[in-house]
Amino acid sequence: MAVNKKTQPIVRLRGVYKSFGEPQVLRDMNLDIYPGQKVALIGPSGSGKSTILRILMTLEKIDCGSVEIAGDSVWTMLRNGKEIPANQHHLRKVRGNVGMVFQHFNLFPHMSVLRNVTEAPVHVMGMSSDDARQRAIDLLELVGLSDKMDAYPAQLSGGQKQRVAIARALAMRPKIMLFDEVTSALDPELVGEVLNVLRTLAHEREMTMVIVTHEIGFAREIADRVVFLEEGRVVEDDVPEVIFSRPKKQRTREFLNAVLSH
Amino acid sequence: MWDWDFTFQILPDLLRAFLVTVQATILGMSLALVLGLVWAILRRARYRIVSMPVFWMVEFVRSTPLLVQIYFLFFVFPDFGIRLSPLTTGVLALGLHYSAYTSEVYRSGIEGVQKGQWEAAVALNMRPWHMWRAVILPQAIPPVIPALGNYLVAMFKDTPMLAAITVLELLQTAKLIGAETFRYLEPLTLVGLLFLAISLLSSRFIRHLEARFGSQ
Repeated sequence: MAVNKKTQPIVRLRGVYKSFGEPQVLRDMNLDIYPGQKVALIGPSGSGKSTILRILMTLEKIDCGSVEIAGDSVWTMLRNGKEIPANQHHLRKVRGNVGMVFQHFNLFPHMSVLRNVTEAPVHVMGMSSDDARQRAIDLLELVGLSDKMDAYPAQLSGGQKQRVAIARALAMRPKIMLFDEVTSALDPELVGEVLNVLRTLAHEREMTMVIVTHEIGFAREIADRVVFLEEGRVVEDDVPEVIFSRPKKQRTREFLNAVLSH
Repeated sequence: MWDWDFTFQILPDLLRAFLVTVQATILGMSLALVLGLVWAILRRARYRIVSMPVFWMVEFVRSTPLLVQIYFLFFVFPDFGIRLSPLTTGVLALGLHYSAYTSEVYRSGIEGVQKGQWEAAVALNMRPWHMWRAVILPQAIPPVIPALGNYLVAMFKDTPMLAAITVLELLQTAKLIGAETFRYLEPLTLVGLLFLAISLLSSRFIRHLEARFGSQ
């Protein structure tokens, strides 16, 4: 199957609905993300932006619609020409394209920093422990934590934990990186060090990044596309210059005014 | 009343029986620790056809007396051609019975692992077995080790029930000595003292476990 990576979206949501009980979190969500894009998802809380990331990481199922990642439908697969529900093997294949960094880091507290980063490459990808170790060392250097390899998560600051979490996700070489409010749980003085790492990553042309953030200034700086969501729908989807300087929709303007005057 | 000569005369037999009691407890507890973990994990299985039978089996075992289970294995198994020694039967009964309790302890430990840990394991594409072994259990088990230790002591004190199926553990041996000599004071007192000694040792051991793991 010849897929032109330049024109085919790497992420495609079509008519996705999702609710957790009563409130409808996503309503008829359509979103195409192309390889290499750096997309910032912004919007008030409850607008569904984190849910989109969790759906892309297969942490949430969808109520209806379809999700495709790198050309594969996530929740269905073909067998003998028939569409059937995805099995674990299929899900694992799809998941291999995606890495995620969480708001609350979710490092493994009983493992050293180094092992947090090498565990999955060795036991999931089958990388040799020497190769995984070398890659972990490189990545920890990239996030500025070479000196913390043998530390345990409890010994690190929030900013350091989040940088380890970024290295851990990168070690799996995902095509798509999801960042779910990665600075929201940090003390203000630690936000900068994490944003610096994201800034570095944004220079990687190949990597697709989807960033849910409240840091509007940061979204403006590194995203090449900003999607403003409200009540589970896309309100406005454009380049940052348009969204932040001359948004077309009244709601976008109101939201930005509220956030920036805050 | 108390006959010291008689006491020293029966002590070797009682100590030998004490070793049987210790053996039954260690084997029974090992079985309970392994089976309980299996039940706890199976109860979280994706498919109800796996999780429901395990749930009901655990409920059933917890709601019926240990002595009934011991008799059941001892008298009913042979009808199905399964012939086991009394000690093996006793160890199986103790292990199975206590696995229902340890599975609940493991379950609370597993539920104590933060949701984010499971999500991180999924995000790193871990296989279920790897996730349990490397991420979930290393965090779920240490906090519940003291609670598991309590069941070790409880099982110890339940071993006299094996006397009912002729296992020559401590109480059965004391009873036999009494029946032969018509003296019950010394053998039963020694049984009590031996259980007291092991209980005191065990509670120190559990306090040690609590200090080591409980505060985490």
